[in-house]
Amino acid sequence: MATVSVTPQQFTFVMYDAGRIAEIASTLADQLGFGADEVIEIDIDEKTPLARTRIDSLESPVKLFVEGGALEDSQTPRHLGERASATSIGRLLLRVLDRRSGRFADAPAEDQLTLPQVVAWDTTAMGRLSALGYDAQEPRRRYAFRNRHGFTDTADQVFDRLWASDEPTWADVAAACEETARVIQPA
Amino acid sequence: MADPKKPRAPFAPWDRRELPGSFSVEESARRVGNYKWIEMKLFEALGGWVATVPELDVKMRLGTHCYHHAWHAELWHKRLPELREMNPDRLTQPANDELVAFVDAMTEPEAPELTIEKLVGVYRVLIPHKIAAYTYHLNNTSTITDAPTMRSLRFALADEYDDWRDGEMLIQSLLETDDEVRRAADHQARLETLMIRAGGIAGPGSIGPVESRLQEATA
Amino acid sequence: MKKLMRSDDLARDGRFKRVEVQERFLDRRMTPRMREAVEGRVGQSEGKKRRTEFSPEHPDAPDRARALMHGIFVGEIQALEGAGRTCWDFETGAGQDDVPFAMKLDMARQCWDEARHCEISVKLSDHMGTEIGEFAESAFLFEAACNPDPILRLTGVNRALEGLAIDVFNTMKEFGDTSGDPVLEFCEDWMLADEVTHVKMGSDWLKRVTENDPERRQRALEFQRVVDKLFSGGGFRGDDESSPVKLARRFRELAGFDSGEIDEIAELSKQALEEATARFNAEAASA
Repeated sequence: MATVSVTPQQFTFVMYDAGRIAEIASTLADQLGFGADEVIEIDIDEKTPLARTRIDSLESPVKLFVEGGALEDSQTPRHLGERASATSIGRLLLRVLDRRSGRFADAPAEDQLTLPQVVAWDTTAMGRLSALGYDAQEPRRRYAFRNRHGFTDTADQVFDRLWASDEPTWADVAAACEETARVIQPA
Repeated sequence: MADPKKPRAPFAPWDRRELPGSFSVEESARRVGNYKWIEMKLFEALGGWVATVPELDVKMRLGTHCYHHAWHAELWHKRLPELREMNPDRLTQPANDELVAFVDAMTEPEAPELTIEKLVGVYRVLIPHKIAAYTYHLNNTSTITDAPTMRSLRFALADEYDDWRDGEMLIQSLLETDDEVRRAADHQARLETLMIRAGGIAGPGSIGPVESRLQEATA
Repeated sequence: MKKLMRSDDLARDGRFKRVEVQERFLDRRMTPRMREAVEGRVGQSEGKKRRTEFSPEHPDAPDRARALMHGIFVGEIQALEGAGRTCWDFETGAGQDDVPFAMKLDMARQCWDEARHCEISVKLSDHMGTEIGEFAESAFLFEAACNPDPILRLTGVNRALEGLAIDVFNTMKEFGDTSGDPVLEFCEDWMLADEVTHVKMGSDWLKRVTENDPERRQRALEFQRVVDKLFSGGGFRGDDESSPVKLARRFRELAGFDSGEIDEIAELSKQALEEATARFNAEAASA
């Protein structure tokens, strides 16, 4: 299994368990195909309830930055959420693998992606996590997709396609964005 | 119409309404005061129970029904001055002490696990008795002189039937075991007994002439 | 059934998870609004297009909208429960502890309206992909509705909390409009219409019942101020462009608030933000 380290080791603003976060990440890394010699570092900003995430390094050691809210149990504030942690970290790990795979060679840098592109790509990640047995909350992801791609039948069909794809490419994501943009309802 | 001055019968041939009715102004007012009282007790209880039932669908339905019965109370409140009762509070009374005992027993269940009892009291005992009393009044009062009461009775009855059906379906959806069926039946029997002692929501005579008057009528 | 129920006794099915009010105050994490305040940037977006966590271009906007809608949903349940309890808790009459018949009828009407809002919120939850009970529930709306004085209860709920509802629904309506979500906009607009009625009801009854009791009116308005400040949530609701939920002045005026009262709420919101910021800074300094 890949080696996962989490900072901080001790939390003061929230009641998270660094060891449990590392376990979740390690299990995911194994399921997604990270090698046993891989090192993954997760840096958590516990001082914010927001949920932004970032990939700071694609190559080992893989460096992920996560705002604490992304791992939070929405039912029990300031406590670790198993589902939230799995989907937030899983999404990032899949992004790393996608970029490494060559299928996303033409994708812009992380900070250059548009919101529709981010959401379309995330949809493929959530669909793959769902296929692995994780509760990726499909209705929630569909709503987020509709917000960026329109409340239309076309958007729903594109969402279904992205959700079901097991080896997406950047061309798939770009084509999806173009397809929904063509029919998006004006605000 | 060829000749506007040609006399026409004041009641069209298809209008078979007649004058006589079973209730005087005072008797109508007494009953309406009783109706207002029971509708108030019902809407207050439904409103109070909303916070005590955990089932979301029941919670929302009780909120809607609370308003129905409050509105009925308002209809009766407005009718009373028209029946020569200028102080509506004076006649807003329970039919008798036995009906007070019924309402106390009906509103006694409070714990979150007693949703069945709460619904049975209202939808298998009180509302059927209200439907009975309102129907009796509707069918026995003067269709000409007491038309405004009849109008309000029809509006109220429309809600009563809908609410009765909603409540009954909720009860049926909650009864899953023999024990729950027994609980429902036992509670219904307890409350039905109290209602019989009260004689109905307007007291004895709620759904028919009292025995002594019946004897006078047939003598 | 007893009178004057406590919020601990509110009945819920197993999906709902209660969080105590104190828990919110124990959360020392900094919201974006507080970060702006600490960095002295509050109101700097005035004149520019307002970007808050409910602006469609904000990356977290859909999830923030979902969380807020769930908060509205549990708030509607508590508002329904509060209106229902007001029907039960007080005798009908003209005494100090009584409630006039017509006011009880208005409370029953509010029961119906809030039940409808619960129904709308459930359907909206389906639409937004939110599970019932997905987010924690705080009972502080019902706690405001627990006041043993019916007029203070009405003022706290119908003027303060329903007033906040006007602000929140207006924000969500705008979000629905700008994000192109026709269902959200439609639902928020209908609920907004009802809330204007509820606030007006609260204002009208406050005036009528306390016409000859200025001391009771003062107590009611003071209670309203306390609730308004508590529900400004550390600057979550305010009058400047960077507030996630902006004071909906026009709708509040329709509901019977005068401009002085609205200005006072804006000031209370500012104070709430300043106090939350001061608390954060004090804790950061002692850490």
